[in-house]
Amino acid sequence: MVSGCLIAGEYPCARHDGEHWTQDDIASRAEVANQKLGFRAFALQIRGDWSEFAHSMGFSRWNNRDHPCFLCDSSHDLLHSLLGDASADSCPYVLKTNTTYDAECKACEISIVLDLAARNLIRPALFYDKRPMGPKGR
Amino acid sequence: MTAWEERAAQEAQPNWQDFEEGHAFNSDPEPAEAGRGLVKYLLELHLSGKLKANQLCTIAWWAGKAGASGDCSPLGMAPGKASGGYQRHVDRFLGHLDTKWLYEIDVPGHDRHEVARASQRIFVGNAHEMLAEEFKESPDLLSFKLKELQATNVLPPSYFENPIVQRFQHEDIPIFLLSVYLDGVSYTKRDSVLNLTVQNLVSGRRHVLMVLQRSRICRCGCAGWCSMFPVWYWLKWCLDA
Repeated sequence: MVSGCLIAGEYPCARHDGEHWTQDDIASRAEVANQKLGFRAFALQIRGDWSEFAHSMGFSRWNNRDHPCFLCDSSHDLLHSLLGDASADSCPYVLKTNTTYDAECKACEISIVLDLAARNLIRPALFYDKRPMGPKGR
Repeated sequence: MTAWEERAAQEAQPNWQDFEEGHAFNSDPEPAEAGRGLVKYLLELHLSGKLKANQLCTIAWWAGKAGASGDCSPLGMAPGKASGGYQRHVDRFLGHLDTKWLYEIDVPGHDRHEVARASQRIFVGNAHEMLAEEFKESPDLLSFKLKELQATNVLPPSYFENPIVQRFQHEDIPIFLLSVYLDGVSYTKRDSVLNLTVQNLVSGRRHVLMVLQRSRICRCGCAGWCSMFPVWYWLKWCLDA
């Protein structure tokens, strides 16, 4: 089982992908596995410019026709028209929340029920593994 | 100021690059000081991509032979060696080969020598290990600072409303708040790196977690997602419960 670190307040007991520690990890990380950090911590903010939010995090870009802003429900045509009314603590558009964002993502998803054979075929292919026996990705 | 900037500032010695009009500058330094200034200037040129490792080592070697003091001799390497040896020598001098504390993850990426996607191993710093290191340095001070921020209502409501705080606030251990920052940083005219840092919002200290070369991010049509997914997966492991 892969346990978390900062929220759990303890050192992890396995690598991030659930694998056993590597030889390099054994000397330092395996020894402190499951030991308490002495504190907890959590990410309150994710900061970055719009470019990084769009490129690296996969949010919608400013040139998206339907959802140019990943924070509010403004359309492409209206995005700049009401900016004069915006301030640091108010927005003329309705802000997106986790719930609405999840709902919109789910609306775009197509659910398929897999049998075990198909699941075993697809699941490892989601990770890039170049080892001789591993799936090579797409 | 980041942790590495603080270290650099503490270790910095005055040299000609520190000179600005109106500031005192020692125009007649001692030989030892001049040697340190020369090495620092050469390393700055190298790290900004203006001087190759073999040029750097050869200049330092000749300077050492000419009597320059400081680290010129240890940094220098005689001309005529294999080209890869110079870079290893500089890395060893700078301590860049000490990567035991770093965590290795494999990410898909782009390699100009391969037609298909290539696998690359990147070295990252685990957020929990770096924050634990910071906490060990001054646990009482950090805990006191957090309590002070809580008592004076400086922290935003989102901190107190966070499920983690509400669930564990009865425990007698501090719950720090972090910010994750992501941005591109140009290091040459043609290439940049993607820089991921985490900042302890109580102490203000930033820790570099990952640096990923833009030119090596996957180009299979995924818009870089092949390379980013393992990174987010690893970051989630560091932060998540």
